[in-house]
Amino acid sequence: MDPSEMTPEQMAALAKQQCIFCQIASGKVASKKVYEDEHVIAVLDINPANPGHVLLITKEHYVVMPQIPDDVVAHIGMVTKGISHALLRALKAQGTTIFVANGVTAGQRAQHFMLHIIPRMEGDGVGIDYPEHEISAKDYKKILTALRKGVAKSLGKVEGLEEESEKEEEMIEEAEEKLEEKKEKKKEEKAEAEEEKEEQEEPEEEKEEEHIPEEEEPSEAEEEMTLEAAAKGAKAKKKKKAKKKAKKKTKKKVKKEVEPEEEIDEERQKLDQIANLLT
Amino acid sequence: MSKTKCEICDLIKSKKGKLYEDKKVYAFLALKPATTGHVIIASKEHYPILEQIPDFVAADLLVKANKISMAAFETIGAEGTNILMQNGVAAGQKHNHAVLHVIPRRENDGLNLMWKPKQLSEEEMSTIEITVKKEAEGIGAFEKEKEKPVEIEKPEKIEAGPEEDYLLKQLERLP
Repeated sequence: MDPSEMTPEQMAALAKQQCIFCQIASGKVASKKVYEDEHVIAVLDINPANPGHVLLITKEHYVVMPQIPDDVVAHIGMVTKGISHALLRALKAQGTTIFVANGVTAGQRAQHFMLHIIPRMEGDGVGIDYPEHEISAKDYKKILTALRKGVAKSLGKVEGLEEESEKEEEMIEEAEEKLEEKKEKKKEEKAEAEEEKEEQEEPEEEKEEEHIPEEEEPSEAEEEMTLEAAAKGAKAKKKKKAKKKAKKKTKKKVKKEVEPEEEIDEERQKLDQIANLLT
Repeated sequence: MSKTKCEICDLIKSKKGKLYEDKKVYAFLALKPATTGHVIIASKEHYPILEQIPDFVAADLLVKANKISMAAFETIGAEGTNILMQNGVAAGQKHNHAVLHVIPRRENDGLNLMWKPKQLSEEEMSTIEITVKKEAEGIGAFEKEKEKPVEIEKPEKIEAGPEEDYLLKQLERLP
């Protein structure tokens, strides 16, 4: 049959027939399967980056991740966590690399979505790391505003973002202004310093005169009133704070009591060891 | 595990470069990007590695990463995207806070995230299959988000009322 004469449904069916990963998912092609449920199947990669390299593939035929419905993506997220944890336990791996390529440009080779979970050991030479490039404030701002529009479309508007972008613009402007001001100030300061040396005696006298009236302003009766009010306020605040603290403490205690069982604690300790390497 | 020294937590507080935020996750434009439009998605709660993140948060992280990847295709001319998580120091993790990267890709962008395949014997593959399968058996009972907070908040509000009255009475009693 000529592909140009096919309906979209027939094309999809053909794509599925020809897709090796659909055949693996349906069991028509043999594979080393480590996990399976209604949405996904996890198999060992036959060309692994490291021993234990797992491919998580959808049972439905999707070419790239944006085609997958949200509930399935969410499911993939949870299964990924589970398999990553299983690799840490089964192979005593020290970490995992989780990787998705959408599109040939990103390194995708198969016409079927897959998520790589690669067990990692210190100094295994697998790589999969990215360089960190410097970026100018202007370029950063430009990409940020462009991406925000796209994210607002795909994820919905986030409150306060417009205000924040205005704030950021102001901050950038302020920073630029400050730089210029600093330069100007340095010049002015040099000039002023010389002048001030000559006039040093005069401004000191002025300052003393300014301070005296401030102290005299409140009458004694008024002072007593304000002091009393302040004391009352301080007492009330202290009581409130103490009560809040007590509440927090009881909450924490309840949480600690809820935490279950020693086995899980042991698991956590192992995970904490891996996590502690990060600090 | 100290929360105070976490760069990602500090960034979330500062709101710098914010792209998206909800109760669970926070996304921002990377300050030192791998490629133009590199986005980092993090849980708002501090978790050093993936295995410590609750299931429903891990799910949400990937859903949001996917949506941001879509936005990269539509708005900043990405020809492909990579979603990457470096989980643990051995995997190259740079911060003490588990994050997902969305890296937009373009032809000849100079980034290479590929690996060299290793050759394993049939026997080695089979042993790995058995051990991993055994550990993966437990996957399935996923932790769901609890809807308790609403119940907890109510008694707090009721307590707040008499507390204020008590304080007011105290003040009235003072001469």
